[in-house]
Formats: sequence, structure tokens, C-alpha cells
Amino acid sequence: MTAALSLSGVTHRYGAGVVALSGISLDIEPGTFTLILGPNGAGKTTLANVMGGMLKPWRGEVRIYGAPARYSATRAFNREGVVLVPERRRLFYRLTVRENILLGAYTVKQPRRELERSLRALLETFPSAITNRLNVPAGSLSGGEQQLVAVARALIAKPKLVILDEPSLGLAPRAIEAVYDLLESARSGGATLVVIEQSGAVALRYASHIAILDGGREMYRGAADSITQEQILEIGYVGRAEGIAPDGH
Amino acid sequence: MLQRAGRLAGGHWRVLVAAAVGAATLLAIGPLGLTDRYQNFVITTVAVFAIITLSVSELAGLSGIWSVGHMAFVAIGAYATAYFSSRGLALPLIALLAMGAAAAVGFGIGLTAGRFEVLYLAILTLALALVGGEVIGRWDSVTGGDQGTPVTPFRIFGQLLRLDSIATVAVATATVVFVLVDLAARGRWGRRWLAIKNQRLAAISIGLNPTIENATAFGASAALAALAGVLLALQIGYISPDTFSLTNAINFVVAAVVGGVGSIAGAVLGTAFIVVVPEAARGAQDLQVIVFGVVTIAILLFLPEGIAPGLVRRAAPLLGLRRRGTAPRGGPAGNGRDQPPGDLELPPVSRPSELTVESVTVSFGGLKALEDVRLSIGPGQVVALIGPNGAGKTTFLNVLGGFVRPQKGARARFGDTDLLRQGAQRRARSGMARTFQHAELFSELPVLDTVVLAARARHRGSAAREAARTTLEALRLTDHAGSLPGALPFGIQKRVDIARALATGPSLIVMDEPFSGLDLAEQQQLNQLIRAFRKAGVSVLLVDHAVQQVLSLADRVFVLDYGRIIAEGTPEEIRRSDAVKEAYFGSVAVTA
Repeated sequence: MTAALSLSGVTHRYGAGVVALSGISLDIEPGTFTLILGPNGAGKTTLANVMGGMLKPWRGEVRIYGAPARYSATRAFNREGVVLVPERRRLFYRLTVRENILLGAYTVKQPRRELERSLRALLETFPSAITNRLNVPAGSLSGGEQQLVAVARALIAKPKLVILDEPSLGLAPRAIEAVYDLLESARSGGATLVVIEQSGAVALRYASHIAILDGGREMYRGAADSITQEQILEIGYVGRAEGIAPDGH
Repeated sequence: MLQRAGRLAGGHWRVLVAAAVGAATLLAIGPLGLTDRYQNFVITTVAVFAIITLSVSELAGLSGIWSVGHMAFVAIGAYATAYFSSRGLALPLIALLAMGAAAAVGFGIGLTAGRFEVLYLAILTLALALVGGEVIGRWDSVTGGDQGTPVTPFRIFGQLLRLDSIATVAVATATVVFVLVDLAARGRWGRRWLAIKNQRLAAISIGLNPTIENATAFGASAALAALAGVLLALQIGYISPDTFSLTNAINFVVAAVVGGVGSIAGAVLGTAFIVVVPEAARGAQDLQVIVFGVVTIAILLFLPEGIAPGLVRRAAPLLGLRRRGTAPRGGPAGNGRDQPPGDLELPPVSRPSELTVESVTVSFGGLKALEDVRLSIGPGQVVALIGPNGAGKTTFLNVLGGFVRPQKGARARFGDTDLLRQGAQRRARSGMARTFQHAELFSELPVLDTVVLAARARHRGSAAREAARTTLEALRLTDHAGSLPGALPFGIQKRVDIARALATGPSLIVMDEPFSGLDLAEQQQLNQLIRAFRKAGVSVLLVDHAVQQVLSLADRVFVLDYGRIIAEGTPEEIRRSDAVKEAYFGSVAVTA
């Protein structure tokens, strides 16, 4: 099967010397939910930006469904069905919830009526806290609700692959669950997910695959149930990979 | 130590260059006689105008206040000189009077600065310029109205002041002004103003008073403009209203931007630009304005940060210099994991205090953000406040910080002080410090300067520097002392935020989502750090969603939902509470 997203030998550095990613090779299979964990400075956000088309890597190859990715414009990624939900949500605070979500379909030219129909279909899986407040400014929502809107904005264009950078940042435990429940229903609708998190206590219950990043390198990759929380800590945060057999290498 | 020496040397280097340029110019126009009358005129104009540009540019650079009204202060200086010159007052006395008057007006306008955004304040200064023009037009007895008024020539040491000697006076004055402004900008005033400009809330949290500081900055800047006005009067000998036109006022803003905002050398280069380019294009007649416009646009395109900083940036690699605050080669120095402050020992707090808050109700419009909230923290206790997003936690922190006033009947005591009677910046001095979710560091201040500034809440003079060094040492931040926040990884930034709070010598630290954005290793370090706070008798109010960390640390937990405290108890009691599970935890397994 062709990978939804395929990275080979991706290396990126900032300025003269700071290496953010070093030879990352990674295949994201369609329909999977890959959780990428790692400490601060591991290169997670750089990886998310490379995957989402925001950042052309210095070296290496990125393919979307087998075709070489074009970094000329982020729009090109959107047209291929790849959407990035950046860190800290980045909603348009003064626009209403509905306007925020509909803007997610900006690059997909479709008739207004069809768009409204997909909005209604999409919102069926959303809690009433969102669906009852489509016409209030997005900035007036709580952090958890804003994250749900950010996810909705990504899903409205019916993407094939969604990359989320720290969707649980600053959220209460229950709100984190609500976000992941939503992502799970998106996945059962056929979307492929890549989620980047600082710590994956909740996310790990939903993920099918896991990768651990540290110092710009991949430290571990495998099925989500191949590893325990303690082992994650040991690999990503103490810097020791011995003793656990990583598969996929 | 090396960094400090480098910084000092760097500072002296600038002063020396300014003094050397000034002295060389003085020699050229004076004893050496290298310049003719026309060149002297241009040099004088540049020197006088450079003081005006500097006053505009430094105000913007240090305080973030853009003024298009500074011509009014120049006018005060110029007309005061004309008026008092005919009454035989000594020149230095006139200069002092004019500067004092301008400073008073400037201080008054500066007091309002905190209430307005940048653009609105700029419009306010525009109004000042317009009112100034109107006053000049109407106050005939002093200004001569549209006709203008002559300046009676002064005598210095019995000699009549002529154009050549005026050039000497102008260049000498400008040199002194530049040196003094540079020292002030790099000294305590400049540090405080930058801190307030970068992060107003965080600046207040370490005890700075933005209203007074903004007013002082504006007043000082106005006084400089008035001084330039005095020199201008001497130079042109006849004051007329056109000199203070709005076009001229805006030209100084152009000079500040083109030269480089907040840059001393930039003020001279920018001024030379607005004086010399139109002079040089004089032959082109009607095209003069177009030439000026095109060159301005070209400079802003190719050197967007201004001439002086732009040239420094381009020249730095050639000279092998590295800009201060950029990350050293080989990656951001030190990930948090390299230097765990686990064995941290803090000196015991001198005056442990108890915080008791009762009956706090806050309404925004019809919405009750907080309703009858109570919370208490004993000396050396770690207390957690948790709750869903939007439950009112931030509002509660703002009440504690003094940014939101609760309704009548609320009580908040901290040690001997009644918090509700104290302004926001006074609370830092009563021993309450705060850290921020996104660190909110002062982006233009190196780490050491930031912590020194905070230490001044408690210490005077060199003791503040010493206290800051001890704090940095304790938190293993010494290696980053010279870095700007932007060059540091987020985990380190949050540790600097804690150092800033700690340096004020608090007995209570209010921490807003300290675990958010930290990786697991950094979270462990922070956990150790908070335990060290408790051991030293510093109480902590912890507001965070990192449930495991919070429950492992807290002595008591308060749970907020829809503005009310729905549960209070030990972590164990909170874990078992069904109400809390329903409102907050969900199905997340909460284990110790």
C-alpha cells in the first residue's frame, strides 16, 4: 500500500548550526493514528511543519501518496488533502465559530450549499457546547472548545491526513478526552492522523502507532501497545534506548 | 564574569565612539577650520535635528510610544529662547526653564500612555502638535503670531555668539546628550522601560509602575526636544511657525525609522538622511520630494530594521562578531535535562505569610465569572486550584494580581496587608510573586538584566545584582545569563520566569500553568523545585492541568467550576470526589 505520507532522510537545520531534524525516515500508512512523542527541543514542531507543508526541509524527500511533495505553497498540501493544526490553536478570534470552521475549506472550491451540508454532517459528532454557539466569536470560547473548533476547521475540507501539534496543550483532562474522541470519529471516517504531544498519557489510548523523537532523531517506532509509559519515559526523556527492541528499524 | 566585562566594554565602546565623533567634528569646525560656512550650517542642523530624532527614537525604542507631537516641545524651547533673549536671561537658565516646562507637559501626556494603544497615543500626540500650532498662532505677545519673532543674539564669555561658535555649541551639546542618553538607555531607566514595553503585566508583577515610568520617559524625551529647540533658535535667529509644521514633525519619525529605532548611531544617520538627501537633491528642483521618497522606500526595503542596525547586521559576519542573544553554534545551549536543579537549596523565607481570600465575586456584564470564592494558603503550603477551561481560574489570578476588582464584600489578606487596598505593582513588594503560562519574558532584556530588575523589588544597588546572580546560580541558569529569551528553549524560558519571580524575594509564588509546555523531564525538575520552595517556607498557589503533578505536590486542592468552588480537600479526597470526576477529570485514571 502507498503510504499516506512518506519521509526519507529528512534533515533540517536552523541558521548555521542548530540541527532540528536529523535523517528522519517515516512512513505513515493510511488510516493509522501515529502519536509522536518527545521532549522539548526534540524537533517535534519542526517535523509537524515539514509534514504540514509549512517548512521545506533542508534535505530529504517527502512524498504524499507517492507523489513528491511541493513546498511552493502550503495550499499545495491542502489540495493534496494534508492539513496541519498548529500549536496553540491559532483561531481567528474575532470571527464566529462558523466562519472559523468554513475558512478551513478555503482552498477546496465547492458550492456553498455543499459546504453547508458538510458542516452539518461534521458537527453531528461535536458536543452541543460548539453546535449551540456557531455564531459567537471564537475568542469567547474556553480553551477546550477552541481546540475543538480548530479540529473542526481542519476536518471541514475532508482531509486525508491531519497533523496536530500538541492539541492537548493547556487543556483540562476532560477537554483533552473530548478532543481525542472527536479525532477518533474522524479516523473512523477514514482520516489518517499524526498527533504530536509532549506527554501522551491520554493520546496513547487512542493511537495505533507511536514514534519517539529526541535530539532530532527517531529513538523508537512501533505499535502503540508495544511500549509502556515507563519505557517512553526512559527512551525519550532519559536518553536511553537500550533494553527495548524497537521494531520498524 | 567574561560576559559582564564584555558588556561593560561594549557600553564604553559606544560612549567612546560618540565622544570621538563629537570631538573630531568639533576640531574640524573649530581649530582646524576644515569646513566652510555652508558646511557648518549643515553640521549644526544635523546636530540639532539629531537631538530631536533621538528624543523621538529612544521614546519609541525604549517605551514603545510613538510621538508625532514632539515639534511642540521643540517650539517651547525655541520660543522661550526668543522671548527671554530680549529680556536678558542667561542662556543656560533659559534652557533649563524650557526643558522643565516641556518635561512637565510631556510627563502629563505620558501619564495617559497606559490607557491607550500605540496608535491612539500617536494620535493624541498629533493633537498636541495641532494645539501647539494653534497656540503659536494666537499667542502673539510671545510668539509674534504668523510673523514670527527674532532671537536677540547672546554673548558667551563676552563674545557675541556667531554661526561658527553656534556650530561648536550645538555639536558639543549633541555629543553630551548622546552620551547621557546612551548611558540612561543601557542603565536602570532603560531596563525598566524596556521591561514595561515588552511585557506590561509581568513588569507590574515585579513591582514596576508603568504609569509613572511611561510619564518619566515621555517627560525626559520632551525635555530633550526642548533643548534642541533652544539650539535651533540660536542657529536660525528668527523663529517662525513654519519651522514647527506637521511635515517637519513627521520627518523626525521618518528619521527615527530610517536610522533605526532606539539606535544612537541610527539617530545621527537618520537625521543626516533627512537633512542631506533633500539638500543634495536641491538641484533637481521639483523632483526633490520624489527623490527623498524613493530613497526612503529603498532604505526600508533593503535595510528594514533601519540604517544603523541593518549595517551592523550585515557587517557582523565579516568582522567575526556574533550578535548578543543568538544561539551559539551547535544548538541551543543546554536542554533542561543537562542541569537538573534537583538538589536546590533555598534560603528560608524571612517572613512567611498566610493568604486568605473570602467572598470573592466578579461579574462581567451579566455573567458571573466568580461567585463567593474562598481560598486560603498557609505559610509554606502548596495549594492547587484546578478546574475546567473557562471555570474562572484566570479571573481569580487577576483578582489576586490586582487587575480585576471583585464586588463589594470581598476580603483578601496576605500577611499583614489588605490586598484589595493595594495597587497591582505594590503587591510584588508585599511578597507575592507570579509566574506565567507562556513565561512572558522581557524579549529585549538578557536573562541577567531581567532577574536584576526583579531583585530591585527587594534590594538596592549592587545587592540586587548579587541577589540575581545567586538566584540564577540556584536555578542553574548562569550559563544563560547573557542570552535574550528568544534564543532559549521554552523549558529554560519558563525557568527564567521562575527566577524572575524568585528574585523578588517572595513568600508566595502564584504559578499559572507552570507545567504546561514542559516535557516530562522538565516537569520532574519543576516538581523538585516546588518541593524546594515549600521546604524554604515559600508558599505556592498552583494553577495547572497536569493532574498527576498537581496531585502529587499539593497539600490542599480547590476545584473551581462555573465560577464556584465545587470541592476542597486533600489530593486523596479530590481524587475520590464524584463531583470533580464529573466536572473535570472525566474518565482519566487519576493515580498517585
